[in-house]
Amino acid sequence: MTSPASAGTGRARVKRVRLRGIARRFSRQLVLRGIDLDLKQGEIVLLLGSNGAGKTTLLRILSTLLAPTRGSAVALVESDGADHEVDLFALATWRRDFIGLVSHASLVYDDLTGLENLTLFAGLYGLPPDVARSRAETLLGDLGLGDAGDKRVAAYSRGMRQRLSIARALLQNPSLILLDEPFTGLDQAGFRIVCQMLRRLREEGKLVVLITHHLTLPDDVIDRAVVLRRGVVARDGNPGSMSLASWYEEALA
Amino acid sequence: MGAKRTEGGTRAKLGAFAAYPVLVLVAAIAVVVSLYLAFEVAPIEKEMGVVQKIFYFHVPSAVGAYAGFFCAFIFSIWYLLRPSDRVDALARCGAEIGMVFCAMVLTSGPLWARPVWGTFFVFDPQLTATLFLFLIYGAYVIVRFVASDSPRIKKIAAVIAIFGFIDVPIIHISVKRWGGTHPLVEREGGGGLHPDMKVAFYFAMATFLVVYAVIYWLRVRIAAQHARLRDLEHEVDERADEIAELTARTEGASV
Amino acid sequence: MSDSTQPVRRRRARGAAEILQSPAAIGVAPGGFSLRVKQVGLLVYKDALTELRTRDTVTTLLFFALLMVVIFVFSLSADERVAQQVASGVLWIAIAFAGTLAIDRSFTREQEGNTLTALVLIPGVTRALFVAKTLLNLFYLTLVELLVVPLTLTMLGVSVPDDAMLCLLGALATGTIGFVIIGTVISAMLVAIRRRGVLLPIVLYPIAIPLLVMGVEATSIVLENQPLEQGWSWVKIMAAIDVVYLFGGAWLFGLVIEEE
Repeated sequence: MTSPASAGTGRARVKRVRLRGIARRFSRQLVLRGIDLDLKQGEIVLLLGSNGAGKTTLLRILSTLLAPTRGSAVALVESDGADHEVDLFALATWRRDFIGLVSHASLVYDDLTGLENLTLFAGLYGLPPDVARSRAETLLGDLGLGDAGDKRVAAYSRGMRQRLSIARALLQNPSLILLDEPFTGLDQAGFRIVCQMLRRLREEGKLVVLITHHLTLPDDVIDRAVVLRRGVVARDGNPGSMSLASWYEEALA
Repeated sequence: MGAKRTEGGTRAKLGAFAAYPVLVLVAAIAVVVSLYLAFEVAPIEKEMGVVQKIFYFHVPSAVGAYAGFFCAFIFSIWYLLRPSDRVDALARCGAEIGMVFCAMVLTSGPLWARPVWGTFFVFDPQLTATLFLFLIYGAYVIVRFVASDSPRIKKIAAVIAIFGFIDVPIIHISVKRWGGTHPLVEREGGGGLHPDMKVAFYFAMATFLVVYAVIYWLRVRIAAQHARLRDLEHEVDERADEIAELTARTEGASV
Repeated sequence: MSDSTQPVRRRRARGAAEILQSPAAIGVAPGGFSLRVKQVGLLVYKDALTELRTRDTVTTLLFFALLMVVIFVFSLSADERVAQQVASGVLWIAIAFAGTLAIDRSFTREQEGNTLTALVLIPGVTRALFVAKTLLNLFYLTLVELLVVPLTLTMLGVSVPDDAMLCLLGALATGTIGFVIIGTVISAMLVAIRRRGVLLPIVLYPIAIPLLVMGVEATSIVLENQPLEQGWSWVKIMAAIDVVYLFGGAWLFGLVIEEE
């Protein structure tokens, strides 16, 4: 059994995701009512919308942790050097390590240190101990947590915890990266670090989808913005020369 | 879309099968015949007297209970492999009806045991097994009752139903082995039965199975109607939303 | 496996069915057995490290077990003959109650940072998680028993004949293993449920009753100096049940711990 360092045998790399007619119902409420979206690699997609518009639900469906009530999700993936179209959920039943998820919850253990958390998850993903450790240290450094690696997460500030969550999500080199409010609790320095990380992920050809209420992002981290309203796509495109805030206002008007 | 299709399918299947009234009629006649056989045809047992008549209802009730729990077991496995609301309803209804029959077993049992064995409860294999089953499927029904109706709860309930049924043979083995320390009980269905008693007994068993089928079917139909009603409510909600949105838009345009 | 190389026809779309390839056909595969073993090791190490730092499960658990034994022993008369008869019941009730506490705790840890979500995204980790949590709960229950068994027996003044010791240990081991397996599956299911505190005992005890009853029976045979063969035959049946529960549990765990 060879342990893949990053992309190895048996792994799939997601290049595009095609959503058609995605709907999801929670008891009496239809939260999503027919989402059509084409997402492709090398793109940072912003999901915008007011509370209850269905952003988190859509993200959870993309993470394959929640099945849609109806609709299809097809992924174009590269595996063994060739491209294939597969059902996203069928792929997920085999392995889900192509997904990097940052959710509302921190998804890390409070009683372990930052470094221990990352090496643990890297090990669970099958990385050999030395590779796991160096990968964890690199990511901690990249996210400005180099000095905090040996502190317990319980002692972290909110922003540090948020950055650790992002580091955790990137451990296994995923190709579909989903972030729910990655900017909450970040100070200016942290904000810049995360933006820098997003740019790098785009250069590496990842598909990045993020939910945010932060409308003053630097222009070059927005490739595309999708506004959800009452469970449907209200606007989809690039704000261009407009500021994101006024573009968003216009979409909701 | 999927939900609607299956719901419609259930209704169509049940509607098309007009045999339900026939089944009810058969059950009604069978119950009357069964009563006649038990009280008029079958002789009064020499040692136990009239009390023994309970057993024409006690044991057949157990058959009904097992039928219900078996439905819950089978459909729970099915649900875990291929989740759908319809299969879940089939499992849930089976457990509920099984509980009713099980309660009948557990009340009629002691009524019979008191005069015959001199005590209300004996660690007799079948009786103990039935009591444990009552507790397990009671947990199933409570979980369904207390918690919300999410797919997760449905899965949990399915697991309980499966473990519960796995426990049946285990309970039987364990309680049978107690023979040494607890009073030995002569089973009712033993060889010493009068032929007329046998006829009444087996007829009563068949009758209770038919009665079970009638109630189960009815319960499943009610569940299907509930699901249909819920779907309609959803549709109403959606339409209302759409109308509100359209009104807002036209008002915005006219201003 | 032959059919999985065929294109999969999926009817998720509203319109016509699409022909898609199956993940197996394009060389996507979850990791193998050695990875699973490694994952179990890591998960056990993680929980052990956390427990060493906080020590909250072990301390509350042992204190709770102590309380249980004291309450039971003092609520019973000190008559020697009665003591011999009730000792096995007291033992198993204390084990079951303390066990419920331990099993409940084992998944509370995963709930705090919602780490279970992070875990289910890792290929093949659910089986490893089941094994790891079962081993851990088994360890906690062993600790409890190390305290409860000698304490109950000495306080009730019941002695175990030397030759019966092995049988007693066998009964304790097989009963505990089965109880832990069921408990781990059930508490894993209940992680995200609102009323899980109430639901765990309600669901766990009825399912575990047969095994607990057998445990009581086997233990009382030992304590009442009845023929040991009877005790051993109970232990054998319980071991068989453990195997059934193990396979059933591993299968069900994978099904219930996943997403909605």
